[in-house]
Amino acid sequence: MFSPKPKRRQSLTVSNVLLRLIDFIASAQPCAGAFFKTMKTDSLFTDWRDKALQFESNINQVVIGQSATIRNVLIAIFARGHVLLEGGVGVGKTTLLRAVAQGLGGSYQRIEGTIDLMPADLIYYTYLNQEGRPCVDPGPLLKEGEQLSTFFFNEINRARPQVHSLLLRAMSEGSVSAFNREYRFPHIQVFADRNRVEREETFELPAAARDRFLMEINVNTPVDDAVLDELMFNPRFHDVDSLIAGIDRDSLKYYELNDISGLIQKTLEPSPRLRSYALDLWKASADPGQYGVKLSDVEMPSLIQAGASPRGMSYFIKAAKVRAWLNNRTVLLPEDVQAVYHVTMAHRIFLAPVYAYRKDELMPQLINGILDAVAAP
Amino acid sequence: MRSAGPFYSADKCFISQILKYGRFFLVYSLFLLVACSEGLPPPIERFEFETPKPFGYVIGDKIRHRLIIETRSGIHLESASLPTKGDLNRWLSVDQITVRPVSEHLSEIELTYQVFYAPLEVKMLSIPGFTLRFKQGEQSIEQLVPEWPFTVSPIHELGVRKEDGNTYRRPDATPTLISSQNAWRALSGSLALGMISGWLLAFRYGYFIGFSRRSIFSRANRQLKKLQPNELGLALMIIHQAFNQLNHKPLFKHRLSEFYRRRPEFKEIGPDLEWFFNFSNDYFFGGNPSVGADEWSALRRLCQRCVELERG
Repeated sequence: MFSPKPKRRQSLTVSNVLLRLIDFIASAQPCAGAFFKTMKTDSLFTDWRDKALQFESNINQVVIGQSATIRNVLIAIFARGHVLLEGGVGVGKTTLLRAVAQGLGGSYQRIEGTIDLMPADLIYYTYLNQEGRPCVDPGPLLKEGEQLSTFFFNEINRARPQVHSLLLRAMSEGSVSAFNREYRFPHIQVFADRNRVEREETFELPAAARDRFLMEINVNTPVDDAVLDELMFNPRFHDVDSLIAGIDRDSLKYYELNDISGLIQKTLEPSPRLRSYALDLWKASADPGQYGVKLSDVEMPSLIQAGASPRGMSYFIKAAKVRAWLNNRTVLLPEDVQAVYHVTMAHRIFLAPVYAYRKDELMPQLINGILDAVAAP
Repeated sequence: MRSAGPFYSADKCFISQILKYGRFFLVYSLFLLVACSEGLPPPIERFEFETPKPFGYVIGDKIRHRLIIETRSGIHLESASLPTKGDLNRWLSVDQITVRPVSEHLSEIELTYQVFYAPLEVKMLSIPGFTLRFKQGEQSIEQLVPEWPFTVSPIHELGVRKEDGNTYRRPDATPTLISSQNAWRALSGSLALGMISGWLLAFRYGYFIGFSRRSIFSRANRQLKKLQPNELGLALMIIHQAFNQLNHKPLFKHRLSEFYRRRPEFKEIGPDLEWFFNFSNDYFFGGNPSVGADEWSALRRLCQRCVELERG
């Protein structure tokens, strides 16, 4: 019926040839290998950190007043995790994602969540061609094949749970089954957004789907008057297309991100004390009362329905390691785990139904309460 | 041959005259010496018996006698010759005997008697005399203390005033009390001052239950002094816990600015705190800490500075 785009070949750049040479020496001579390996890692880390910070700087020039959000998105990119953005209408969520997609290069697909969207709409669509013959073309998920790097699901909470289910597999396994075969997306990163203004005709994301997102980032309207003034009066920010076009395409090569992400995760080894601290933070997410956390008008023992999942905690540590790397450290500190605790944990902690309607009020208090209750050391 | 002439006879006569008058002169001189010289001083050179008025005593009154005795050197009083404390007879007892040597030869003896005689009319009584004995080598010397007569009076009312055939009795007039207001004021002031001082000290050292925050680093410092330099991890934990307690929540390096807003007095040791948190991060999370005597001393110094800051 149709075939996806061919797999991209590994590029033979000078740096790749050099790295392969170092790998060969390392396998032949273990002592020399250790030295070269360290040198290689340091060099790679420095190069990629420079690129990452440049990428962040570029995005900050396009989407102003959202530096914390952009830093979290950058962490998610290098932790290879999916991101759920939540915020009001017109605060720059879509612009941010388009800018990220432009900077990452690769293929970008987007779908709008609607109440009548069905899973098949992501896989294929049918139409009559000019000759009047029915045709089947790949949907947004399959269209770009393995080169799909950024998949943007706009207004995800308007789609039905069946669509969420299809997305689950694509997000967690990077593959879907269609037309009697499996399609793989090794570089896919899903960005979804939902606005918090409208709740009618929306479907709350199931816990399993939320758990597959590395982060849930709240995007708020900037509060700085100078930023608001720029957004209002500077015509540069009125034309989003030309704004996005100003970002260097392929400033981060999407097909190299998995490798550097793996290297970051392998290289940064948390100390036993840090492991103990992170474990306490995890346990506190399930039983905050045990750690002395108290919230006003809340019966602490009955507050939590479910704490963070093991998958969530692995995402949490992955994000913390990327933060440490971006701060030019190979040592993981408590400040790294604290910095990503809110964005990686808030959507994984499920409040009891009686408190769920106060989630927006209670969750920030709970997260801050946990961070203020657990000491390290 | 020498003849015994008149000259020889004259010489002999002259010498015999000298001897005759010389003997007379010697006897006369001795007589004068004996006549002019005093005999040996007596062993008790001075004895004075000082007594109070011999009248106007009533039952229960105390009578004090004082003996002043000056002796020759080498003479010592035998204390056994003094009356013993306690009852002398049925109405007289010796309350106190004090022997006070004033100098090598001079002593004062004070005797306090108490009278328990209840006379129905004025009556003459006597404190019995006794003999003081002194010792000089083997020789014993005695000094008589004479008896002392006095009168005691009854304390009951004259017979003219009687009620219902019974002797009229009434208590003593109530004495006017000396005003104790000033003493009470002084006592209250002293107590208030003491309490305020105690309160201030307790506040300063954080002994109040509600103000335990002022003794956090004092306790940490005491714990730190018990540790050895090789227990650096424990020392770091103790200081971290002290900061966490003071901050009401865990304190991390990246939250120091917030901490300074709450406790601005700690800003003056900002560089030390920066060093502490960097060192702690290296030790606990970096896995490659450089530990030496300098670090240990720096930790002790930091804790001591924090003690001073928390005390204000």
